[in-house]
Amino acid sequence: MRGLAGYLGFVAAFVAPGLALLYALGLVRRVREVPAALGPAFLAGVAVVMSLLMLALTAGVAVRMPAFAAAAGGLTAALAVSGFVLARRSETGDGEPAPVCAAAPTALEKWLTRAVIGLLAAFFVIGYTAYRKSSTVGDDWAIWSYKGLALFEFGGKLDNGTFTGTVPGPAHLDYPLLLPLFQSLFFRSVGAAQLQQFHSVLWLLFAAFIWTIAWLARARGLPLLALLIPTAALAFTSKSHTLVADGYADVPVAAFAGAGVLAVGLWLQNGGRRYAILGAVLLVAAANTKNEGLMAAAAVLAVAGAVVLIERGREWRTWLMTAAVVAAGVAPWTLWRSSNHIRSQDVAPLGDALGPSHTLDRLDRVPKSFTALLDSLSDGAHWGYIPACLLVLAIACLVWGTARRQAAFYLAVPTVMLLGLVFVYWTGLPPIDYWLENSANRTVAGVVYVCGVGLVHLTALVVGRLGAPGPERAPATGLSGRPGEIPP
Amino acid sequence: MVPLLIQILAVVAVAALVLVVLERLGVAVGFPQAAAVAVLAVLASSGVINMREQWKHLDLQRAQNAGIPAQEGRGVCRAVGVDAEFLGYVGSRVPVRERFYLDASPQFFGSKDICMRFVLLPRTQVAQLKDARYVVFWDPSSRQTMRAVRQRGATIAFHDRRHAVARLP
Repeated sequence: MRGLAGYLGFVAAFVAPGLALLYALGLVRRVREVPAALGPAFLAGVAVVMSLLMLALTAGVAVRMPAFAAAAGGLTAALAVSGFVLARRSETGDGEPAPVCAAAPTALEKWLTRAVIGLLAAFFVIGYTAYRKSSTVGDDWAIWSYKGLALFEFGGKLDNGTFTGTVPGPAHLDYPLLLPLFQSLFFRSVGAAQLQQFHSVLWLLFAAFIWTIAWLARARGLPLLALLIPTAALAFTSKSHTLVADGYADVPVAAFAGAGVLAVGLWLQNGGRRYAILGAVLLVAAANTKNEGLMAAAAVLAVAGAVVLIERGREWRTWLMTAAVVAAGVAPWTLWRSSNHIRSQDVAPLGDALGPSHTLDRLDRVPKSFTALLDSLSDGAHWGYIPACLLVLAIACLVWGTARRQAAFYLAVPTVMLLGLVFVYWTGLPPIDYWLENSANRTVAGVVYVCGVGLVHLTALVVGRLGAPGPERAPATGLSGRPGEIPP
Repeated sequence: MVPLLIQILAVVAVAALVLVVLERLGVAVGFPQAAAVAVLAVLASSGVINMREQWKHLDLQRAQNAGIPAQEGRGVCRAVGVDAEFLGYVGSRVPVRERFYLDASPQFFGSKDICMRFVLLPRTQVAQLKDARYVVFWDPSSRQTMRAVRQRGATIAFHDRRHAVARLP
């Protein structure tokens, strides 16, 4: 009974601040909108609460139940009050940007939509029952659960030597601690180190990600059926399930990064500053989950910055704010790691990695990395055909001038992420064949999820223009906020 | 690389087919719209196939995981080559939250030692003998450490000739 109550309390402790965040951002306004926002609230809640607790952990605070309750409760109250004040202010003028498509679905579309939602819901319930007794395998015992268990057993602090390398500990001390800290709080909530049960929490995070991308895209008025098909395709990717079963961090990091990219993509489509803030919060969580998340955040900010620069829009202030939130969110762990002289076992320091002798000596690693990563991306059995579909659609949109800005964004972000991965493998230290064989099929998860959310956004945008709203029927605003301008 | 190119060509071919069919039906669309419809068709087809496979996989996972007790699930890492019997012996000899030093052959370090530490948590392995209360001898390559702890008056419990646990005074 304690376990069940603890489990529910644990989830609620993230849903409440997540809902408050969505309310503060104006993405949830009424009580009747709450049920549809529970999944996104959980994902956003984990992102915002855990980022705050990461700051506390690196500042030397013992992150146990009192700190957890204070962070969740404090954030809920603060965000709810902010939301209330902002909602009152917006009533007096600052209106919400118009949705991009307001076409009414046909009866057939409605039924198909309900069927897909029902299937997804049943699928995630079935998955929940399948993963709650999974064993602790591979990197899970060597890295993630080891650290989670150590945080649970050693008082939720980093000063016991396990994390600084003064005593033998887990592998990869350089990896951020959001997930282990999250796991240790789960253990505290349920009253024991329930390693097996924690896999079901990872599954919930994955379900929340799928829910979030559908909800976010729908909130901007994109046609539900068109966005649900790529969403479902992403939900059924077999590699996601394997990674959840294995307890690896690749799915959480890819989920935060994917949802963050979609939020930023919606901001670039005149979604308003609120989407940029949400995107920043999710990208901070990605960066605090695994090193690939930091790379994803950097890629998104770089590409979004380029879009704003090219468009010469007035959105650079929002971009700066987004970048500042990400930098502030990433700083605690980066500073703590540097101050404790914790270095990556796999990656050379940046100064060495960029050195000509280091890079030229390893040029043979570049084609191998490209081949392995592209082969992993195109592994239909693992990832469906998501990257190939995005490439075709985005290039078609770019060439024919449809939704060009979104197409460029969703093509550029995974490309930059992929180039980042190639750079890491190129300049990295482990033997390349062994390294690629053991990691390439996992590290591409973030790239695939970004391709997936790109497909959700692009297909819904392009198909949404098939049957309905022309400019005269669904007034929308462009990036610069001029009424009546259709987003390019 | 080749599979990706084949997939791209396949999606382009479906898009071209969609374009032709829609034109025959009198619906004028551009290539991006045809590509979007093709993408939805491809993803819907692959999604249905994957869903069926994953559903089966989930059923299999549930059945496989059902009988795994918590301790067993935590100790799966022993498959990397850690002697489960001796690991259990160490667990029974070294109390929780105690600090132990590991004397083992170089081959043991890399992944087996991490597995051992993980299973033995919250016991902590220390880097230096002077910080330890217990010493675990896991098939060490020399008997130097054992001689040293004997001289310090340690109580040594042997599991077999190559494996032992010593309690320092």
